[in-house]
Amino acid sequence: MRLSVTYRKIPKPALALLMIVAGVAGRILLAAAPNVEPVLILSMLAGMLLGGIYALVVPVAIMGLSDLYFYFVPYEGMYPAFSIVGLAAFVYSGYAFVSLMGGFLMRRRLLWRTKTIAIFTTISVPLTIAYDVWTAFGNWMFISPPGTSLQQVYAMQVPFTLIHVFSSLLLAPILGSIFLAIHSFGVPVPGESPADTGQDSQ
Amino acid sequence: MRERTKALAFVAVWLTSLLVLVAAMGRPADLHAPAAGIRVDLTVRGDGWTIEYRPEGTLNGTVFSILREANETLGFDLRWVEYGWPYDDVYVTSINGSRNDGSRGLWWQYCVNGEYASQGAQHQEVRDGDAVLWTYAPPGGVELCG
Repeated sequence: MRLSVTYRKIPKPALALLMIVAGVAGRILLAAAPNVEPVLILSMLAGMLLGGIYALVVPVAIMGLSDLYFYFVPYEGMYPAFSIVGLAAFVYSGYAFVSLMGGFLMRRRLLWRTKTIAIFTTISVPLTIAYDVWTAFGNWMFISPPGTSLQQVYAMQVPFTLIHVFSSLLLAPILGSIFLAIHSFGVPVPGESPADTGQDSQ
Repeated sequence: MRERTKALAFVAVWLTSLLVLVAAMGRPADLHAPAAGIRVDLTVRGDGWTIEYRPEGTLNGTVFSILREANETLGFDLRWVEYGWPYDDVYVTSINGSRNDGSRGLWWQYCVNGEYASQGAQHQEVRDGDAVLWTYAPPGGVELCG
């Protein structure tokens, strides 16, 4: 008997769980470099590969679980609940928007092709900018000191958006390839070679 | 075009885009270590208390490294969060027990020679004779530096 690797498709809930685990771990591990984060790309992937309710569940679960860590460990007691909830409304809705747009713009483009990853990566740039415009507005409403103009907030946002675009450009092909491959082919599992077992591979 | 050629072309464009962005946003960490010892006046103005530190001939050349030196020399509590690349800087969260407090709107900020901070404390160079002030106050500007 000879062992070989076969590929097993995984159901949507399992793929969603994998995205949530990757998102929570990635967001916490990359916390030392703010705006370099995997959540935006994973939100796009959730909308693109899973769709439906998962387009909302995946980004909200990633943010909810990782926020529990951030607001109870490194930033414990630093921000009032009003600011946290207010900013969260913008951040969560921003990711939900990215997820829905990812699903809409990448519909019928789920083939395992370079073109799919290239389009996915390209789309991630305007979605990152749109997300930053939206959340900077939330920042202005809930975090910025009184007297700060929206124009000042957007001016200060520019270098951070550059880093966020870099993050998306970096992670879109990497995470996109991994999750598109898992979606298209499944995950590798050890199994017996069909030729050696005498069974028809069909 | 064959799929492999497309993939190689995409990787080339991808890497070029990343390099252009890194060039646009990147600045290397610079700890500004002075060649010879310098004299700096450090004042830390907290919630009803003040710490003063006047090193003669220090080799620490940034606002944060002077604060760290004072923290190690005088023994008061200092907490901060480090941010890696591309920031390579720090965010001071607590000095001598006074913690950044969003509910009261009090945050640690600094000034050098009466000028409000314009960059992270790890990147702000100090020169011989400079006066550094850390103040625990609502977010502001130059009015905090008096």
